[in-house]
Amino acid sequence: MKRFSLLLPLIAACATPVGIASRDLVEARAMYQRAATSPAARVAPDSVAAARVALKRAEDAPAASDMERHYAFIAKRRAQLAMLKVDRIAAERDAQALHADLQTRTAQAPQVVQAPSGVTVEVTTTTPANQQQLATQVEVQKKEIDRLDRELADTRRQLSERKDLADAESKKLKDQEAALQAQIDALQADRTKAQQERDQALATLRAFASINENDDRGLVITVPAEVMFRFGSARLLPRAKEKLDDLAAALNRLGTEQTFVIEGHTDSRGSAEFNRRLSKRRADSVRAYLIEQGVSRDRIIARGRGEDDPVASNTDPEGRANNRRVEIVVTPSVVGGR
Amino acid sequence: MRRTFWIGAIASAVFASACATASPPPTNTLVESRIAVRAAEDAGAANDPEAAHYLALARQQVADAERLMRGHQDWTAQRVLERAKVHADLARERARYASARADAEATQQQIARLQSEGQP
Repeated sequence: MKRFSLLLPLIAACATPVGIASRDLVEARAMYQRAATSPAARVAPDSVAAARVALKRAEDAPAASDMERHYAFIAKRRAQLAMLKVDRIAAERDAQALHADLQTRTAQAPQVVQAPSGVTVEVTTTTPANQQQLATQVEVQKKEIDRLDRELADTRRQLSERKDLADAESKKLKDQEAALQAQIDALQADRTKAQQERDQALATLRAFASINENDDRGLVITVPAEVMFRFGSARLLPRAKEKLDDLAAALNRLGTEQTFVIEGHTDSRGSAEFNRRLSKRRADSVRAYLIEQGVSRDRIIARGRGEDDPVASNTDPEGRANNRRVEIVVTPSVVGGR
Repeated sequence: MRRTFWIGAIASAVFASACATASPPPTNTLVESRIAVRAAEDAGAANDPEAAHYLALARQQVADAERLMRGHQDWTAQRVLERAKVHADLARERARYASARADAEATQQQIARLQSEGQP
């Protein structure tokens, strides 16, 4: 409704005076009634119908609103147009009748002929062959042909303009559709490429680590501690660096936006405090090396979990070996895609 | 699921950028109003004062609506064009009425002249 207020200055020249809204509606109803009960209903049914539609919109609009005033205005003008059509048709009939009268009078009028002898002779002719009558009839027919030609040209122009508009709209929609499809194709191509890179990265890691894609924390890469450290040490073994080179490459191929959590875990031998510090130092060592290999330090976090989160029993050697491990957790929001 | 989300997000972004306003541009109404103005001109609306008045209103309102559409004020433009159309129709009808009246008067004068010359 607020937008409509912008309309008022633009139509001030033709708008009805701003007054009580219901008065506009009353006037519109009155004009419509005049048109609907006049010959306009028969002669100009389209205009009367258009007035009725506008009046209905005015009546449906909120009382005293700009919408009510606008459609009341349109209804009045349409009703005025319908009655004007009646007047115009009557005027055209008058003109036709007068033309016919003139033709008749002209045909009956005595013709003045200059005889070869120089004597003026008045001749009255009433036959259809009268040349002046024919000339008048021809003139009337020519006018009618001209009018029909103009109407035909007008109709052709309207059709042409509508076709141009439809063609332009169609082309615009096709262009939009093509642009959207191109974006979807590009997105799908990106996703396919990302998926392939992820699969390649995980395949590399599986050579020396176990990978769990269904962990609640996200994708978890588990590397046995024995692969990377001597017993009780947080210093990386040379062979561990080779593995971590592959790991760094794989992590970088997983994408550039995700973060990784390096978690160190131990078995339960030794004090809990010692194990927690050892696991933290081991996680820090892995983190530092991965950073050296190009993984951004902003994306990687190290934590020491000590013996608090075993994955197997600590009562037997095999279980303890499984508990001594380093886990790299890739956050769930990243695992599925970029 | 994620794929559907991304496709949906891109589609939304495209449509959001394509449709900056709530109302569609009233291009059809604009064309109809222009045609109505041209029909009024062809009917000789400029030759009758009342028809010329309506024609001037219609032309001004079409120009106003075009400016509003360029500013993406399509809803308001639609209302202005509704007025332009009815004014153009009135201009055309009034011009045709005036033309018929002038024709009738001219014919009446010819008849009167014949009568004054003593013809039937």
